[in-house]
Amino acid sequence: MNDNELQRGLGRVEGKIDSIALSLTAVLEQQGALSRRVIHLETSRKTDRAFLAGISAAVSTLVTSVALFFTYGGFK
Amino acid sequence: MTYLAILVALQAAWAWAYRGGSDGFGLPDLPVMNRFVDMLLTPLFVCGALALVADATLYEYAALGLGGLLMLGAQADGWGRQMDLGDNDKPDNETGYRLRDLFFKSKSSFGRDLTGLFMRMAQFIPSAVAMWFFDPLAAIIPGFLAFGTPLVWVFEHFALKRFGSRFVPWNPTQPVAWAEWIIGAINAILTILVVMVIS
Repeated sequence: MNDNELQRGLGRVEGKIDSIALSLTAVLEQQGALSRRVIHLETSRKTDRAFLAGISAAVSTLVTSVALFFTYGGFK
Repeated sequence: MTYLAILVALQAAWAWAYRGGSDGFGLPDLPVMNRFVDMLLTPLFVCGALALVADATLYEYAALGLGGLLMLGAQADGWGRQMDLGDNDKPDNETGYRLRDLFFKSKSSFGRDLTGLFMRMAQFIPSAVAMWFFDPLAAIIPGFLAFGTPLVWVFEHFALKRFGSRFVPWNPTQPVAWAEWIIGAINAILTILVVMVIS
């Protein structure tokens, strides 16, 4: 094997490493986008639950009040 | 900063009862206090705690300030006979009584006073709307004041007044405003909750 062949071989290896690095970058970018999306979904799940809890609390308060209202005389 | 905000939020626990409530504070009044300062304390501690941890825009801070101002104003109404929920012999003469005259026969009854309490506390809804624009979670504090507090007076009416221990230990003629202490404690807990979520 002479130097020229060695250099060509090295060049091919370098090209392959470059393409692997490129695809790895793309995969990492996709993963980043995915995890941002998951974080967004987790946060909105938490806030949705908080809103649901708040609305349920308000509705049950009003239902309890109406029940008490009619139990103790109503429009007396 | 979160710890400082929690410390500030905890002060809301006594601030609501300090206004007087159905039976007075139970502790001696400080000479610097007047009704305006008494009413200012709750929105000051609530909004102060939220402002300490908020990462908000100018408009959101303005919404918080407006919410605090509306919370201050919403406390001004009411002179206490509704909290007795029908036990008070004085005829209903509080805000909106002519509306209630249309629906109720008696001038003082459980249903009439409960309706009156909801009408009075509904004045906190504008504050909740303003706080929503600061942070939707923060609306839970005036939201509780608007929708939750009448049930605390119902709890006082049916549970606490049956205990017969409504007086402070060091002065048997000074009753304790249990309902107002409970409302203040819930205010503080809700504020700490919001502080911990948004910080």
